[in-house]
Formats: sequence, structure tokens, C-alpha cells
Amino acid sequence: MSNIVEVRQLTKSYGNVTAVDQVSFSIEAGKIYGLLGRNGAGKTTIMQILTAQLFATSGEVKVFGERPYENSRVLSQLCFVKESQRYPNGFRVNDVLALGAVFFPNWDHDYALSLAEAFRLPLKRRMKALSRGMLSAAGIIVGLASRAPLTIFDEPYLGLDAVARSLFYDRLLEDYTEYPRTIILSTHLIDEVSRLLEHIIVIDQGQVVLDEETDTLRGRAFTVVGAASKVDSYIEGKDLLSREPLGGLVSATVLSNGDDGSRQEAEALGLELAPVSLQQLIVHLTSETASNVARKAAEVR
Amino acid sequence: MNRIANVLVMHSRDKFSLFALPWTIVGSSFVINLFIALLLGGKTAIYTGGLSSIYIFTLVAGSIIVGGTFPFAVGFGVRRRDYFLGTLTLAVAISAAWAILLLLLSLIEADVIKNWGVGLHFFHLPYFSNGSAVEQFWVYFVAMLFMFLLGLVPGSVYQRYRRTGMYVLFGAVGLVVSVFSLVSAYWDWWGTIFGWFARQTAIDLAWWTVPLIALCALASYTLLRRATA
Repeated sequence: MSNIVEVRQLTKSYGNVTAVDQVSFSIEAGKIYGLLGRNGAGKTTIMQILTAQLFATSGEVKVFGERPYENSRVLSQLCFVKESQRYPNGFRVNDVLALGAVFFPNWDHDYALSLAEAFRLPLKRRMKALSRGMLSAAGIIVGLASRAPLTIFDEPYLGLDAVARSLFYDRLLEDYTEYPRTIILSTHLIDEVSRLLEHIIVIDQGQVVLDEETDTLRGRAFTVVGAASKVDSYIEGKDLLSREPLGGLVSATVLSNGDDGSRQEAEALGLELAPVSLQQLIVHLTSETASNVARKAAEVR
Repeated sequence: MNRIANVLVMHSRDKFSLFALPWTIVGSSFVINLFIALLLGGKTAIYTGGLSSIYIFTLVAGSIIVGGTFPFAVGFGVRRRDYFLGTLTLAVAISAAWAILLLLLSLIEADVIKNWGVGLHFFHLPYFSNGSAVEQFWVYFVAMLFMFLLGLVPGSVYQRYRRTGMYVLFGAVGLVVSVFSLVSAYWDWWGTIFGWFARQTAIDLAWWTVPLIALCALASYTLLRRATA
């Protein structure tokens, strides 16, 4: 297993505001990563530092084993499609695609053109005149056709309709299978992309709150529903994500450590088990009240 | 080297603003002046500052080029250094090309179609166009390159420090100019200063401009190295 990205103690602050706080994680080659978190969590900042577009306040970032700043060996292997990418005045879609061919060594122009057709992106249209969705489509086309060993999509589908979004997921998976590379998808539309993601990193308030394989994560949390007394005794001492009373019943979401013990225990108590969607799990993990819920539940008891 | 050429390719995508627009402006200024000269019957010599439009255009082009293309280039994985060197190459190439064209037009105006047959002095101007063809080229080239880089500096300041940088830059320039004027007036330096300029030929001034160009290039490079997209 080789890590193509190593981030150590990365911090970025603007005056008194700390946008990224002591973040450490690594990215393995050949996987699709999800960098998830709420708006303003620090996702874009982290990706901009990874791609040397922004400067870290402190900490270390290595991409392909080297510092990315002013390093063309690293930068030529990267493609960062950011939601706020700006284009020169007067540039048309075909100018952007032509320059993709110039700047990205693995660029496949025929593929780019076929994607433009699939997304119904008019090549002669000025970038300034594109709708939000078309602008996102242009970014997606650049990201896919670049075939960069590390491709990063930051909120790639703002303004895209459901058809275009599913087209993006299909093409991404298809091309990823044919040309394996590392992909980082940053988004808050978690459930839609959850089937694509092999590894998930959740950022909240500038910190990594979760860094795990998707499969492990899916197995880690579940919801139990049952009579309040039974549920409360069950959740005693467990890692509680939420607890919600529903009439006489209580529904509680707990983190298990991946073993089946706690599931079997719940079944033995006659509690109903329900899976937690990734979205729910991440919402639980990142909602500001999550930790408060745990504390309150403890106080009630 | 290849990466610098890529930046040139990027700049040259916008052929209209880069190549067509400046000559449209100079061309229309020339045609208007030619028309006026014709109306006057070609008996009076007409001197016009219409040529300055291409220098002003280049100043503006230099100042907006960074904001227009730097965020895009950095977003597409271009090194800041390559972006700067590519942009500088563009500036040198355009200045050289325009200087050659201006020289040709100046030579035509001076010798081939004398003042366009109507007494119009547009491309061949006293003082500015004195000297041999090589010297004229050098003056036109240096003046053009200086204009581009003079524009590049505030463009780079904005990219590096955004609006705050512009306030500080123009505040500082205003302060320096005011203090210098006051001091010069107080110590009676103006006479000496104008006297010095009066003794210089256009070619002398072109040589004095070279270190200023280097200074602007260095400032722009230093700023862009730490600028964010």
C-alpha cells in the first residue's frame, strides 16, 4: 500500500479564525475517497493546500512523496476541479478543453469531446455565459478527461440535475475502472455518492472527525429501537450518537466497534435493529448537538 | 521550457484582446487623424498623440492579464514561476512584434509615403523617432515592454494582497509623489530634473528604462510566487 498523499498537523488560520486545525490523514493510491463535511468545514481549504493553490499556516503536506508547492513533477499529476474555478474573460468551452490537452499530460481529447456531447455542453459557448450546472459539467469533463493520477473534485455537481449527476457517477466509475487512479470527491450529497466511495474522511470545524473504510463504517453504526428502559440499559456504556424518544419507544444510534457482539446483544434484548445510512451517520457525527445528546442522555440516567 | 510555452499557448487563446484590439484602436485613431488631415487639405502639418493609445492599451493589458489568467493557470496545475516566465515571454514577444510594426510604419511615414501625403505626423514623431532604424526599434520596444510590466505590478499586487494591497500601493505611490514634489519645490530641484531630461535623447531614456523594467519584473515575480488562485 502506497500513500500518495500525506497530511501532517496541517493548520490554516486567517487572523483569529482557524479554518483547518491540526489535520492529519493519508490517501492511498487507487481508491475513491470521499472528503465529506458541512459547508465551511474546511474541505476546500485542505484541497487547495494539497494542490499548492493556498499556503498552509503550519504542518506538512506531501503529494506523491514530495511537497507540491512549485513542484511540476507533482502538479502535472494533479487535477483539481474546484467549484469556484475562474476562467479567463472571453474563454469558450473549447478553449478550456484545448488547454486541458496542453496542461494535463494524460488528457484524452476524444473522451473530453464525447463527454461534452453526453452532458450537452455547447463547445462554442463562452464560459461566462454558462449556467451553474453547465459550469459544473465543464469542470467534470476536465476532471475526467485529465486522467490525472490524483483527481480531486470539489462539489462537482452544483446546479446539475439528477440525470447529469447520475451520468457523472456512471462515467466516473466506468473510467475509473478502465484507467485506475486516485479520486477525491468532496461533497455534502453523501447518500448519492456513498456507493462510489471506498474510503471516507469527514471534516468538521477544521478537524478530522472520521477517517475510515466505507465498509467498516457501514458496519459500525446501527440504530436500535425498543422500549425506553430496554434501550437505555442497552446503550449504557456504549458510544452513543443519538437518542430520540418516540412515544414510549426510544430509538438510539450507537457506534459499535465492528464486532457482532453488540448486535447480538441487542437482538437478545428484543430490540429492533436498523442500518444507518452513511448520510445519517455523518450527520450524527458532525451535527453540533451530537456530543450534547450523549451528555444529556447520561444526565437523564 | 515546454511548460513556459504552454503558458504562452494559454495566453494566445485570447487572440482578439491580445492582437486585434490594440491595432483596431491605433488604426481607428490613425484613420480619424488622416480624415482630419484630408479635410484640412494637407497644407498644415498635424502632430498627434494618437500613437500613445497603443502604449496605454499595453499598460492596461499588463494590469488585467494576471487577474484574468493567473487563477485559471494555477487551477490547471501551472507553477507560479512558469506562469510568470510565460507571461514575461509574451510581453517581450508582443513588445518586439509591435515595435517592428511601428518601426515599419514610421519608416513608411518618413520616407515612402511622406506624411501620408497630407502632412500627418502619426508614427514618425520628432524626438521619439530620432535615430537609426535600430535605435527607433529599441525605443519603441523598451517603451512597450515598460508599459506592460508597469501594468503587471499592480495586477500582481492585487493577486497577492487583493484590495488591501491596492489601497496600500496607491496610497504609497501618492505619498512618495507628493513628498518628492514638495521636497523638489523646496530645494529647487525641478530645474535640475527638467534640465537632465532635456539633455537625454529618446535612446538615452530607453536605456535608463531597462533597470526599471527589471525592477518591475522582480516585484511581479516576488508577488506572484506567494499569490493564491
